[in-house]
Amino acid sequence: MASAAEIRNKNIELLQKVVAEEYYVLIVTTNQPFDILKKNYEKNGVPLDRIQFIDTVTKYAVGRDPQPVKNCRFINNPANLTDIGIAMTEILKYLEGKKTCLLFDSVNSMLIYISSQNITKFIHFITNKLRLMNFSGIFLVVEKGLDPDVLVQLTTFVDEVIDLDKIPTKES
Amino acid sequence: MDLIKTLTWDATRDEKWQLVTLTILTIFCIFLEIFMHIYLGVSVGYTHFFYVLLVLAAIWYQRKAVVLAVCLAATHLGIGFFLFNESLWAPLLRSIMFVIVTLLVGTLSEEHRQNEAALKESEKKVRALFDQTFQFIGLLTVDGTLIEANRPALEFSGVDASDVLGKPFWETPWWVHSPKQQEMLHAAVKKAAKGEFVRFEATHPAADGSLHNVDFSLKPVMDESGNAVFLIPEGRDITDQKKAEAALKASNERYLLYIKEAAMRLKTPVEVVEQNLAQLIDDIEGGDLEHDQVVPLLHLQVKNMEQIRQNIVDLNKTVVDGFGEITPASKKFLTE
Repeated sequence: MASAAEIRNKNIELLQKVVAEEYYVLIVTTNQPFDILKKNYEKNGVPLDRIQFIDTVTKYAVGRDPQPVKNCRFINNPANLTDIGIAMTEILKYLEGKKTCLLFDSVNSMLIYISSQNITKFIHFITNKLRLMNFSGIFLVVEKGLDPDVLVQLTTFVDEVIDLDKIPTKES
Repeated sequence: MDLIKTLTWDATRDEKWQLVTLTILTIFCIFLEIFMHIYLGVSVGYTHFFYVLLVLAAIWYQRKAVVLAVCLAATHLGIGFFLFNESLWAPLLRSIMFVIVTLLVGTLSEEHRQNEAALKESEKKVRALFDQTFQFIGLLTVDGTLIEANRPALEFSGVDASDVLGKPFWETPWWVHSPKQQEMLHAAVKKAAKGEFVRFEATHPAADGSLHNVDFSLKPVMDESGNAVFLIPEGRDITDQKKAEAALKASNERYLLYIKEAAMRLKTPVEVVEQNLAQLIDDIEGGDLEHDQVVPLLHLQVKNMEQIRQNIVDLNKTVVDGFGEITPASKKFLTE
């Protein structure tokens, strides 16, 4: 969990830590386009060779297919949970047997497109899939943006809740 | 008084037979007067029988029987004094006694009738209150035996008085559906028998099998020494009230769910767009973004705002659809 202002920085910090531990990472982004994320990661020295992306906003924003990118799948709409689920399944299957972590950014931005009930169901689907494949997962949430009852429900799907605001930000 | 009560009861049943009886007795008394006094020349003894006639007349006709007493006295006095030239005092005394006894018994009988009428009237009013009241009322002995139940209570359960009177209250149809409530009632009877007022919510099965919520209370009736002599159980059907409360609670819960969802689908997305735009400004001012990167980001925020507006319309629709009275113009404004 993090505050809205800090969530972008925390995204980068988390990714740096996860990559440093030699994880392969699948980033599902529902807020920042692939181009911007790639730029920010490169700027902060995050190697991209072990990172796969599922970008749900670029095609939605520009209204057309973007230029194909090798390590990025573009989904036409962030509300299209079916296509997101299919893309995730295919990429995770490709990464099977490897030390893999999923980074979901973010639950709050998904609320623009789908109801809290559907988000809960989707997160539950993802966590079950990760457990079955023995993969790790990180879901970014702005605590104040969620109803406490929904937050409690989401916390039952995960092993641990970390308040990133209580962890000091590393000076870059 | 018991004799008067019995005879009065007999009298009210058939006034025709009263008249016949009195007529026969009067004729017999006159016969006695003629036979004993005139024929046999006996002036005493037989007059005791006159009291049978006079007492009966006084019981049945109250003080009006004095007329008969006066006539009989006059006859007896007249025969004795004018026919036989007897001393005035003995027959006069006997005649006065006829009238006094008749008056006394007549007055007592009249008072008794008035008291009985007043009692009946009072019983009628109490019964009317008891049976016409909206709520269920009964009467228990201090050990919990039901001795009275009003009509609404009996009709509610579809039972006759004979089915329930004389039974322990907790064994009656109002309570046997729930052992837990039977226990509560048993405990309540013990408390009430000690002078305590007890009240709790219960359920009673109606004649159609449906379960009704009832506000039940048990109140002791105390005597002058402060001991409970009866217990009054009362029940007020609060089923409709409970349903209304449940409906209100459900409505409030739905409303709360709606505003929670509205907060998540509106407030949070607006915060996301707000944060994105703030970040975009920082990046542009910091020279971190190219033109071809800024435009898609701005497009994205426009699409996000469109989606937020659609979220508002979708949320409005869920409310408007449930509304009965809304003008077409308002509905259009809210849902398009």
